[in-house]
This record gives sequence, C-alpha cells and structure tokens, in this order.
Amino acid sequence: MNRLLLLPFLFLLPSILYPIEEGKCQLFLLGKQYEAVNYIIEDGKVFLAFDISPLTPLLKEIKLKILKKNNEIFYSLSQLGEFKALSCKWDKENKQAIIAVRLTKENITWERTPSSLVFQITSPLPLSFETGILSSPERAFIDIMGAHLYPAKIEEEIGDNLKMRVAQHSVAPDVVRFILDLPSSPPKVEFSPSPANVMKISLTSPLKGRGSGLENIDLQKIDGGAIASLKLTQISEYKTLLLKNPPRLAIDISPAYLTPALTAPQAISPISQVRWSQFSYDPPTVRVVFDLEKETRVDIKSEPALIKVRFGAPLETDFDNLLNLKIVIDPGHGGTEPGAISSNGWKEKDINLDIAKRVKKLLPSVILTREDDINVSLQDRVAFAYQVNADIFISIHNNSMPQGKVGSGTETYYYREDSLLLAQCIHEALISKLGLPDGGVRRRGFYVIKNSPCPSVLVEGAYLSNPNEEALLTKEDFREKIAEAIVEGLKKYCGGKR
Amino acid sequence: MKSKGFLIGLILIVVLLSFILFIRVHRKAKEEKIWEEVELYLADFNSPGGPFLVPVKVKIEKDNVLASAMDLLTSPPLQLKGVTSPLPPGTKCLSAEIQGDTAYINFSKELKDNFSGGSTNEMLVVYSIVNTACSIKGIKKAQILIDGKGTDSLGGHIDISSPLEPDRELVK
Repeated sequence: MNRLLLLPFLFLLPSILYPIEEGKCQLFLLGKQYEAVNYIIEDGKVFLAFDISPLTPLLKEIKLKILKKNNEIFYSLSQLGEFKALSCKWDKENKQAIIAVRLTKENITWERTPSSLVFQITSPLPLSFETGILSSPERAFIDIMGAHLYPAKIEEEIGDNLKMRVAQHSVAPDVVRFILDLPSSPPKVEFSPSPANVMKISLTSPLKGRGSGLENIDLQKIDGGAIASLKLTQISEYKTLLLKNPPRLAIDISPAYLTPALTAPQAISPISQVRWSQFSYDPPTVRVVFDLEKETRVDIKSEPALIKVRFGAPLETDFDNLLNLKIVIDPGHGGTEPGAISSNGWKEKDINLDIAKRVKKLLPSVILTREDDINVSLQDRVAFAYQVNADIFISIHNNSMPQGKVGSGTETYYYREDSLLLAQCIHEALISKLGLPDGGVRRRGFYVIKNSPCPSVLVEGAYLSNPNEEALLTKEDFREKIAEAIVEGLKKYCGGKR
Repeated sequence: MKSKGFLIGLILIVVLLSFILFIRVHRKAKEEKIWEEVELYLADFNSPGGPFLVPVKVKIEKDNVLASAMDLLTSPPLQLKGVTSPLPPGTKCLSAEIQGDTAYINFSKELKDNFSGGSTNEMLVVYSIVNTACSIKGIKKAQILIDGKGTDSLGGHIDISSPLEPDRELVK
C-alpha cells in the first residue's frame, strides 16, 4: 500500500529523506546548512527533502543506491551511513540531520625530517579548514569543518614534549579541532592547505635567537688522527656520548638549531662519516654524530662558540709529570657503609681501600680521601678534592647486581666532558690488564664525578656479585693489577694532555 | 515433570540475565572513576648494554595516585614480562605526600638495609622512584625518605639528601 503523496511543486532534485514528527528541520551536510525544500508523507510519517545538488558529483562517486519514486530521486539517510567515509545521524531533540565526513586516527599522519615535523590531515572528501595559533600556552589549531571524529577524542604524545589532541569541538555545525601543544620554545609553524582535502602543518626547527646556530663542521688532519671543529653562532651547552657498535661519538648541543649553510666535510681517518640532525625541539637540540672506523680516544675542548674534538689523540707516557699533579684517589664507601657484599662476605669498602693504597704505593704523590675504614660522606669526598685543589679525581669502586643477577666486567664512568679522555685512558688500561668483559666507558651522574672540581672518573673494577670475579678480587695480584692499570691510564692521560 | 524443567530453565535464564546486567552496571561504575596515566619505571636486566629503566604506562585512580604508584613499584603487576622492580626485597612505601611540585616518598628501612650495592643498581633504584613520581602531573622533583627521615645515600654513589629531578640517562 503506497500512500506516498507528492506535492505538485516538487522539483527534480536529488534529496535526502528522513522522518520527523513535526516542525521545521535542518540538515548539516559537510559543514554546510540546508533548509528543507519539501516534504513527503509516507506511512503516516513526514519525510523532509533537502536539495543536496551541490553534492551530486560526490554522491555519484560513492555509487549510492537511489530510491526512485514517481520520477523523484531520494537518498535515504541510513543508506548514506553505510558509506564508510560519511557519518550520518539524526538528532531527534533538535530535529536535525547531520551528515559529516568521518575522520579516524588513520586520517592524521605525521612525519619527521631532520629539521621538521609535518602533520597531515587527509579527509576522504574536500572540506574547509580553519587554522591558527592560540596563546598561553602556545598551541596550533586546525578546525576541520563538517567532520565527525571516531573515537571522539584522540590524544597522542609525539615526543620532544609535543602533544597532539584531536577532539569533536562541536556538533551542528560539526567541527573537529586538532590541537598541537607547542613546546615552550616554539618552532616555526606553517599551515599548507592543498589539495582541497588535505591540510598540512609543519614545524620547522627553531630560528635564530633561540639558541646557537651550528654554522660549520670542519675536519683537519693531524698526526695519528683528526681534529673536528664545530663552529657555533654563540656559546651553547653541550654533552657528549661515546657509543659502541658501531663506534661513534655523539655531541648534543642545546639550545641550538641547524643553519642552512651546513655542509658535510670530507671524512678523515679515524672518522668515517659526520652526520647531524635537529634531535629535539624542546629544548632545541642539535645532535652531531661522528661515525668512527674503530674505537678511538677522544679529547674535547671548547672555546666560546667553538667545540674542538681531537680524535685519536697521540699519547705518551710521562711519569715525572704525574708526580707534579694533585691526584685524589677516592676509595668508595667505608665505615658503616660497606658497599656491595659478596656471597662469601667480602666487603667492597675493604677491597676499594686496598686498591687505593696500592695506587699510592705505585705513585706516592697521590692523596687518598680516606686511609682507614671510616665513613666519609659523598659531600666530604668532593670537598676534599676542592681543599687540596685537585687536578684529577679517581673514585675506586667494585660493582654488584641485585639478588639473582650476577653481572660481569669492568666499567669506567665519567660525567662531564672534561673527564671523557681520562675515562678512556684508564678504561683502556683496565681492560687490557684485567681481561674482564668490557663494560665500556659510560656517562652517569654519580655524585663524586658530577661535583668534583677537576676531571674525574669512577672505576668499577669487577663484580662482587659474580663468583668468578669475587674470587679474583680476593687475590692480591688482581687488586695490584687494578692499581697498576689506574697508574698506567693516568700516564697515558697526562702524556696526551700536554 | 515438564513444568519443573521449564521452571528450572526460567530460573537459569533469570540468573544469567541478572548476572549480565550486574557485569554491565559494574563495568559502567568502574569506567566512571577518574584515572590518571602514570609511567612506572621498571628495570630490564636482560637487554644487552643494560640494565635499563623501562617506562611502563599504567592507569591509576586519581585519589592517592602517588602512593598507589609507589605500591605498584614495590610489587609490579605479575603480567609485566621482562621488567622487574629494582627496589630491594621487602621494601614498602609507608606514606607519600606532595608539597607544591615536590613529592616526599617515605619507604620502609628495607630500601637501604636490603640494598645490595653496585653503582648502576643504585641508579636504577633511585631513578625508578624519582622518575615514576615525576611522571605524575604536577610533580617535578622527588625526595626519598627512609622511616620518615632524609638520608645521605642508599649505597654511597648518589646523593639523595635533597629532592631529585628525573634522570633519563638509564632510560631505554
């Protein structure tokens, strides 16, 4: 029984149909508002018809089935909803039909390049976007008109203290708002809408005035190695990381940005390649990596706005020079603080003190922070180095792993850049003399090496938690070897420094 | 007989329906609680070049989030594979409070007494606590207390006599 009534002035329009009970209806379609142009009544329900002819090309494209009734073409709302890219809904309360583009996480992508971060919002259909920057706190926004978000809220950490938030900002009109919380030192933000269904937002590395610009990297050949000079536009903080597998030195300069003038220098042995990137935006950090042919000694010096790195520093032994230096040897722990205790009851504090005393025998000019089994606080050890105006500070420790773990090998720790070469020299000697697994030269902020007034390292000779290494540490000749290696490392270091 | 079987069937259906309803209501109530995402920094002892601290994201009820996070840190959920708490056995979090942007976390004496030594180990213990605390919104520094009192150091490598900021050196 078809009780469809058609009014005589119904135009030949592609329309959308949906039922209402009474009153006026509106249609929001892809962000645009339509008024009902007609109605039909079927099965006692009123159906409103809207002119959606501006959308005809699109609807053709999505190949919807149409209802033909007395030469009229109708699309039903529920049918449109079957098209994945569209979201259709009937708002009973406000008597509104809402048809919007459906956006999901997949429609938002981002890509990192060395100097920028680019977000792209790709809508399945052409849409209009509004963009801008909001302040306090600074954030970039893109309003995507006529879109529905699934799920209604997406939050994602992008890294570098950047956070992306996407949410349904409003319905009727349907607006999805994309917000990027910018770091405290915001990068340059650019919006580029093209083609019509795409909006890009790109963050490029901080511009001048936000730190120091890396202008130039120069390599110069020297006897037995190379010197790299990193020229900056102004003084900046930096830290180095010596990495293995493959061997490389990374220098992080911050706050800093890359300048366009930067070109790759010709590699000089032992450097096989120089690379750089804008490592992070907050704080703006430039990372320069020197790939090395083999593990190499590195000595770093900085002048204002210039970082000089000497690779493969030629070193020579000079014992007399050592005797003229104020070298502080710091046996770790003591008194009521035993440090690590082995399964057979050997205490780290006693082994550390024994090794320190052996160093003093080999090199009588050194000064110990404690000569007995007494408590010395971390602060007092550093204060001692200040008092004697130390040139070099070496803290002697032995290592341990927590319950159930064994651990193995020799590690040498440094914290500040002025201590890297010292750590390398001592570590090399320890590895070749002790023959234990090479735990590497590592950077860690232990109190004494962080706060002492001079180049300083912390040596972890062997693991007391490892039964084999415990057995070695209990032998005099092994402890003597650790002491000898420390002195040998010192000779290498002091020779190389001159 | 027939009607008895029918009755039992009916009862079963009613029980099943009310059970489903209960679960739904229960789940809904659970969702309504306010959660905060916190990073638990746990130790990975098995990676080459390690050990490292690995941040594990967990959702914790907002009420008393700091103490709850510390409880999780002393006894992490069993289903977390490959990572363990670096805290010495027997360690308990006695109390935790936030003053301004600083967390004061009070542990039982086992934190120091059962600490087995080792410099990297000490770094793992101290920064699993500090980094976890500082992953909570509004906390920038954390101080470790033992039995309510400040202490110089757990094992003689790191100064913990004042609040510490998070450190990412050991974080993988």
